[in-house]
Amino acid sequence: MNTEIYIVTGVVLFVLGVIGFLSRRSALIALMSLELMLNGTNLCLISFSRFHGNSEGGSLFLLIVLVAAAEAALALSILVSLYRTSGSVDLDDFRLLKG
Amino acid sequence: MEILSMPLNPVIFTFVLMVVTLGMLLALVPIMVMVERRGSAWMQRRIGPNRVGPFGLLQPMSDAIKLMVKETLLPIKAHKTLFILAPALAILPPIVAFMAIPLGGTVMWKGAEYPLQVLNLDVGLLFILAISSLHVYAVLAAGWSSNNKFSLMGALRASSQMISYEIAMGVVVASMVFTYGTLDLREIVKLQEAGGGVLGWGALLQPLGFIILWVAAFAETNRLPFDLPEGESELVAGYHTEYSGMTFALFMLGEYVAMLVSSAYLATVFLGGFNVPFYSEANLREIFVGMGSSADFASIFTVAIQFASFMIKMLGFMWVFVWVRWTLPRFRYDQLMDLGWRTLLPLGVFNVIVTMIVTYYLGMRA
Amino acid sequence: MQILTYVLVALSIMSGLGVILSRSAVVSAMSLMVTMFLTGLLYFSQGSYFPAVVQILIYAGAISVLFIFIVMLLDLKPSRVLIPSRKIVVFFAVLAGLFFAFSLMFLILPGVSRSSLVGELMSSEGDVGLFNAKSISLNLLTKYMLPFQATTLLLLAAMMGAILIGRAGRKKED
Repeated sequence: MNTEIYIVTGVVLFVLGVIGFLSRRSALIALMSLELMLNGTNLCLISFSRFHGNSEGGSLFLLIVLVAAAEAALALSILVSLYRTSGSVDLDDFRLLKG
Repeated sequence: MEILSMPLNPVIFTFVLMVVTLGMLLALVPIMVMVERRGSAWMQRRIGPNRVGPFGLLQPMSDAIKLMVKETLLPIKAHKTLFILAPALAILPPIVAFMAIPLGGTVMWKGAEYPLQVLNLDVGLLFILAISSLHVYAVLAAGWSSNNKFSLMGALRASSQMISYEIAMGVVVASMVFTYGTLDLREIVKLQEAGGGVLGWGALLQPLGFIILWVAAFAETNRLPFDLPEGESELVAGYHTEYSGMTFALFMLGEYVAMLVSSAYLATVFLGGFNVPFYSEANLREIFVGMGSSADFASIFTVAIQFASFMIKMLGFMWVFVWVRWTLPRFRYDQLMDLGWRTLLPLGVFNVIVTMIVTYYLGMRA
Repeated sequence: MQILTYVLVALSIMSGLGVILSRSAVVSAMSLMVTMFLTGLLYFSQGSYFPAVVQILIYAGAISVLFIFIVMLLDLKPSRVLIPSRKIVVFFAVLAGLFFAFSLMFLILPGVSRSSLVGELMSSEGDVGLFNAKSISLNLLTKYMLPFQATTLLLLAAMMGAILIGRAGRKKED
């Protein structure tokens, strides 16, 4: 079982996340892309850690998952309150600073 | 006869065991449906279905045939992919979760060892929780894709209920990890066996955790008194209102297999799983060897008796599911959420703290 | 087993594409869940059982449910998929592609990867016990004690923040 395939998958997922984050206008899908990026990095982390025969990657993985959970909960609650005030979650609709 | 004298390939053994377990699960569901219908009739002083076959025993067969030949309807405004995918999502997670349950001890055959468990994972305690938590997607997908407000309401209710009670379950599992010090279900069964008789059972070590997990199991499987998602008087049939024929049958199968998984989980973690009270695996083997069988056959007989013990425990929990369903009325939604968040979760956290302190002092003494 | 891994990889990349390409937000969220679950299966195929279970329990079982929940509650219109006219998007996409190509090159070129990486490192392929709960939690409670405690505080703060934000929105509506 070679490590390369897992690393490549992780990188592909990360790049997909970057593209989705930059190209989609819906804030929800941008957030999902963020999760996708985190997922890709996690896969790389675990695979490299396994490759080195070191279990520390697992601990860091756990921390990343916890941070991702906190981030998702907060970001989604902010999104819901945004939707309540403006009726949209389209990122291009929020141009309050442009006047 | 030459094949019998050779050690079996473990992969083949596991595969055969998997198929047998799957068959057992799918055979248990119609039996449970029958028990539920006759049991409810008995509790309500009705007669129940007694027309098809002797004592109405063929009723599940006729039900199955009826569901199979019924037309599968597809609502015009439904999201087609998700609508068709949802029943499959409902049946798969419980079946996969059941595969991680240890069904019996180890079979010794020609010098090789075959544990009676399909997925012998070192994280079985969490694995079952994780895979069962995927059941919520079937509910959400079904409810949303049907494009029907009753379905959507049912799905939202079901998923919020399942997520809420999963937290209480997770807290109890954490305290069980403190108690046993391992996530391996086989190890957990062995530790309970080592306690001697019924004294080592998790239900006696963690009575509060046992009750919390048991109550949460009712909510997780959407059974009465927590069957708000399917409350007939409010939501027609909840998230599977639009399903008919075989797709509906898959939801039913999923629900019953999820009940079997919950029962098996409770039996394994709290009632000693496959162990026979007062007789450890080694004791049983000695008894069978003393009765004149060879060591290999003694291990097979031992495993058979342990499997029977496991089935009795599991089906006992199943009977309680049926019993409670026809005894208690349905909760109101706010009462359900109150029970989950304000009663079970604080009790669970209290239980974890007490367990931590007790294990700490026991560890200090040892 | 090797073929199974490749199938899992292909499926997870396909569902990752589904997240960023589908018009309906619900399908995006469902494919996010599928990606998370398949990544969990990839951990299983690696032999990292504990990370796999955590991945399925938290990512597929909790975070994705949150996303689907919100999408269903908000009732969004299908959004446009790609905006090619924006220069910055093109720039970053090219950058990401370059990064991807670089990492691929680093991994695939025979002279680079095998000799410099494999050399003195212990390869633990098939070592099932590497990521067991015990070693991971020992790390967390000794070496990574401070980050661990900080994360628990962060979780608490996030929970309270989410509740507060939800409450504030409700008051405005009344």
